[in-house]
Amino acid sequence: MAPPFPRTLMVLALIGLGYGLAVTELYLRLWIALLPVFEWMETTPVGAIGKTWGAAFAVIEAFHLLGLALLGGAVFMADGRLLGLCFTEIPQRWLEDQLHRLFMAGLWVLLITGVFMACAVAVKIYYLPVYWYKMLALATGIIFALYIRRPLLQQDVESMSPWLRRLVALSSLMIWFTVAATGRWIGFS
Amino acid sequence: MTDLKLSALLASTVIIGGFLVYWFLQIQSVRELLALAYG
Amino acid sequence: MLNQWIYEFALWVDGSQWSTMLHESYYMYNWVEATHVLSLTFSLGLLFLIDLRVLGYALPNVSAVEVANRLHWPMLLGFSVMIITGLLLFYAIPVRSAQSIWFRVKLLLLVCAAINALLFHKALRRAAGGWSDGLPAPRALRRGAGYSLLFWTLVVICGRFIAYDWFDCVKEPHPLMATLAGCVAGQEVF
Repeated sequence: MAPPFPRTLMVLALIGLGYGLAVTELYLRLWIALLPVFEWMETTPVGAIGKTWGAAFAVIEAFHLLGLALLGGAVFMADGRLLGLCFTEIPQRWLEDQLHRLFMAGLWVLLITGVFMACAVAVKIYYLPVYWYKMLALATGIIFALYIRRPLLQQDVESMSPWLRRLVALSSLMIWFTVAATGRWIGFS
Repeated sequence: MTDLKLSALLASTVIIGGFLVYWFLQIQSVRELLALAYG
Repeated sequence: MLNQWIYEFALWVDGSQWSTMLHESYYMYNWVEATHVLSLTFSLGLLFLIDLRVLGYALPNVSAVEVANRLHWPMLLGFSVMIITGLLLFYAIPVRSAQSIWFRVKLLLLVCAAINALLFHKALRRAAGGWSDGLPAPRALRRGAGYSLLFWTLVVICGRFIAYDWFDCVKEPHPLMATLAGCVAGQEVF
């Protein structure tokens, strides 16, 4: 028999996991175990191409930014609608569905170009704390967007408390801002 | 309160809380570095 | 020649104290650059929504005219931020930027994008009619949206390339490149 409140329990479990890994410093063990993976990444054909041809890396990076623009546009509009700032005459659920497609398209572009770039500079970013903050924020953002926000907005949004709507919209904007900002920060390191 | 709403409330609070803590710490360290660099 | 004039202008800007301060700043230059890059998520994001709608790839049942009109001003606000930060970035490192082939191409592309945007805006006003809700957009508008996507993609690529020094004047590139980039014979400042 399934436990009551499965999603809430899952969220609590994830938070507990994160907290546990942090305070016991087990995350360091995980990090050490990942070094061979990152060293391997640089040896892949994808990594070799990125390392050899700076131009290829730069073009991929430009598409990474374009994917970010697409995702950003979708997020701004979706959260703007949720906050009641724009296109309020369009049904929430319908707009969500439409913007979700664009969001996913942007996300795929980001992930594919991101993996390409990571392979080229794998060992360097492995040692950068800000890279791991970005990965944490990215994982949080993806889980939040797909597992929490989207299912929630499939339901009747109009009857939902405006404060809950604002919280969800705000966390969505904040998490994706953090992903973008930490990403730019990597570029400065 | 439904499972979805409760999990959304929990997740949002943690994300917003984490965001505030993270960026507060980053801004702190930036200010310290600036103080070191420029006195 | 034009290149000489551009070089001297850049040199004059470079002499400014604030220019040097911004260039050598611990964080300010990085923040200006980060703002420049990150604000494209807003301005280009909204632009993509408009263009993709006109091309029929996004938000199919929303009036394309409504999308364009409502996203227009926030988008322009975002672009203003990009222009201001872009000017500041040039101001901090004027000589290298002015003599960067990628910067020059980027400016040209921006002019093309601006002209295209103006023409698109006019065509949108004229074409306002029943097509907006469901029918494919008029060909002229779809062309405009397509060019917009193309120009801005190239702008982002050129912008990214500015950071690379393959054709920098200080590296004495091929004569044709040197002319296009505006390298001045015997220049001492790079």
